[in-house]
Amino acid sequence: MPEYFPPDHEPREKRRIRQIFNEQFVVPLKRALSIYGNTKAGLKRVLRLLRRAPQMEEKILANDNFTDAFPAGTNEDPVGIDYEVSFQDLGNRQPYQSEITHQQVQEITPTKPGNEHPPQKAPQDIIDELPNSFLAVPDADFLLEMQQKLTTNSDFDKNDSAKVKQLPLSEFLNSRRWEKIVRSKGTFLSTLTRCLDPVEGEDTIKSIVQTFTYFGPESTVPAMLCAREPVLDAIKDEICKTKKFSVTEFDALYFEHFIFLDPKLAVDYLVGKQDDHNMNRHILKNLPGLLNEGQQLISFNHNWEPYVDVLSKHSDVSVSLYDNIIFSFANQEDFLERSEYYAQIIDDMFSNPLIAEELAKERSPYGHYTKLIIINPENLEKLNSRLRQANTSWLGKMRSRLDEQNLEEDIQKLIDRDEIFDSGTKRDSEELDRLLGDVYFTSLKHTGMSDAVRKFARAEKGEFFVRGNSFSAIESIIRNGAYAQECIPYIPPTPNFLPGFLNSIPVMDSLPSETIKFAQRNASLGEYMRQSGENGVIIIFSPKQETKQRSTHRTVKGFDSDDINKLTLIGMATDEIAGFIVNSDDQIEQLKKIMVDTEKFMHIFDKNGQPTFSIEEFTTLLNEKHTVLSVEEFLQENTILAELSQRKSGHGDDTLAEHTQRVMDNTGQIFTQANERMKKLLKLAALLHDDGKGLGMSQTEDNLAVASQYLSRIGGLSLYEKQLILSSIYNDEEIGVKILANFDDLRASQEDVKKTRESILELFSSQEELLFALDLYFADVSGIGKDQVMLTTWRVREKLTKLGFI
Amino acid sequence: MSDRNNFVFTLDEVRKKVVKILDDLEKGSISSEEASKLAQKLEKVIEEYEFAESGKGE
Repeated sequence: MPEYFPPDHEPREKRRIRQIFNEQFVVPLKRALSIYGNTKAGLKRVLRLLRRAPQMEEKILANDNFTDAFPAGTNEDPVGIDYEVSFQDLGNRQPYQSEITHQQVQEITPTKPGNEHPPQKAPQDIIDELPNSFLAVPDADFLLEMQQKLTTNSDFDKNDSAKVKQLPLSEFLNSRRWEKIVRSKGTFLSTLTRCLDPVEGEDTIKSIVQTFTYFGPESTVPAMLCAREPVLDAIKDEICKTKKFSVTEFDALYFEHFIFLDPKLAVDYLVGKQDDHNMNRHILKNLPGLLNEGQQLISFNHNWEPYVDVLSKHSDVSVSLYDNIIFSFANQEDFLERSEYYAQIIDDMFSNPLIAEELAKERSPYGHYTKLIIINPENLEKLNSRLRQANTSWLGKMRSRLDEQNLEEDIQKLIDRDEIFDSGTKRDSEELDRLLGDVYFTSLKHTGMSDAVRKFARAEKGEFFVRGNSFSAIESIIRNGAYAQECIPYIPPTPNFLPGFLNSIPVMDSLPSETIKFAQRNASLGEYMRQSGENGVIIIFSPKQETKQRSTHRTVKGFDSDDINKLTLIGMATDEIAGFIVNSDDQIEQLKKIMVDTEKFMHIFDKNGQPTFSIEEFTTLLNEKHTVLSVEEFLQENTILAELSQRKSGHGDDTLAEHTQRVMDNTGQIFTQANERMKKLLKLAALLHDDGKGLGMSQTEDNLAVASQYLSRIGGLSLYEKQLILSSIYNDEEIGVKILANFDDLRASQEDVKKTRESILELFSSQEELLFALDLYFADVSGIGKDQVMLTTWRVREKLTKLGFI
Repeated sequence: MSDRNNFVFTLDEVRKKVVKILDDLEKGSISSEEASKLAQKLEKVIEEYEFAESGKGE
């Protein structure tokens, strides 16, 4: 093992060794970290390599070539290494003396003594140009052999030679671009494997596997990029064999990189049709985790190929090769500024027959995973028209569902429940959902109803971009009506939401005159619908939305009360809807009830455009509702436990009811600080703390959503007490997270203990809140399954003691 | 409290630790052996806990 020298005292020789070690090992790892570090798998990969640091150091020191190349004391300045000598000495090879690479040698050997061309470069530049790895420097014979193969094309079949001809070796070797790619992304040798057959390239493949071993998958990407299929398979086999990966693991490992493996793009890149900038964008956009939140979002779930020609005209659109086209926006304003430009792109795309054809073939492999497109409202008609024109089976299906009216009415028909849910099979419903989701509506790439609504709400804050026909997005969500109840009320998962949430009643306390005028203007429509025997609702958008040059209202016919229920809930969650004109008295009552139940207020107008629901009436109804049950009555009711009795707790074989009952039993007995009232509240918190399991949002959000619904059924609670209960439910999770994050080991350092304590204290604004939340937390911990309870409780008690909380 | 192991560390926190190890290794303020040990610890951390992936569900 090499001796360790503190940096200030290490001899020059050792310093140089460390420099080489850094160049060969640390720097590539850092690069890998910057690319992969956002994923768990990526971090693991980097750590696996880092774990082998001593072996790598040993290997570098033991490498004769290395010591030959950098004999101690021959250079005063470490950056003054004569690289030509180094290369020549590596394995006694002479790669850069070949005619082919001469130019390249000139370019990369600026410090060669006596060589006046090119001019001297700054030391840092020279370091930057160093090859990443000395382990796979190409063999001169190999290069020559490759040149011959490429020149004669004798070893390639016709199809392959067509590709290869686009990139003769001499051309590509003389290309600075190529050199740069090779040097920056991997090894020179490995890139040449595209020319090899599996048998002939056996050594090369081994070398790639070796590169993989030392530097991780990233370093072999160029090889993969250029490899012909048989070679690629051979590499894959070899790596799987050597590294004992299953094919699935291998694919997962290379998932990000397989996007490069399309020969067309690779060749385009290599011959300069795709420049580095675009390629880098392409890479970055497609590496999971590197996109900033909000930096999405137009995503087409289609094969990329037909789009490329169209999209290549637009330099800032990236095309992923597996299934997405992503237009990225820095933020909402960015989109609004550029919406016309993107509309043009969409227009171009839908004008393209290839794309239309592709759309026709499109089958989403992701099932329910809805992908949607942001389209400026002005372009809806354009899109609609394109869809009608397209003569394909897929679009034909869509077309058959569209009449010659405007798109809005078409959509309205499509979202009619009868058509969707009574049309027979589940498949029909899913199909329709997919058709609509894929083509028409906005930006939400969601994994479920609640997720979509959550994103929608975030979009309103500009975190995600949803604008334009965003109400259509709500409609598309409503179509998944079965899910609707699970997502409301929406509660953002931060402690700060609490006062805001509970104080957000009503949404608007005064009726803007514009809204009244609007309601009166449109009242005749309500009357018309009534006379024609149809139920109807006119939705009035919130005034703040009207400034965005969007519709001020929307007419919805044929909705039953259930639909209105969902519509209202979603409208409230997003604060997008200001009110409704409703032509049926029954439905007005239904709406009122919903608003009271959910503690949100919106204006309702009758068929004559007159306000029918005042804030005073709302408040009165709300107060009545709050007298439904006292805390004591609610606790005695135990219907919640009955409801939970069959649900799994997540702790062994316990049901949620068993767990909840145990937590309730524990409350108030653990800490003595709580007074009787607080104990009662704590019991309430215990009863409500885990009821939302499995609703589809995060666990915390689920729990909070359900708890807040139950709380609205309880009278006699002050706002502060409600907040206390909700925040304790939230913090039950948070305390655990913070303790486990910094303090999972009871032997943790004093510093970690202090850090943990501070981070927990940050959650609370008062001692009372803290104690309350700690009570719940400890009661919860103590209430987990019988088999685990002893140890866990002991550990948690010890930790809380060490933290100074008990 | 259930499933809270899902939230133990964020990737960002682990990544920062790795960055620091690599920086230290590059500067020579820790040896490759020390770096290796730290890496093993972090590997264990990753093995033990599921991460709450940043942007979960996005």
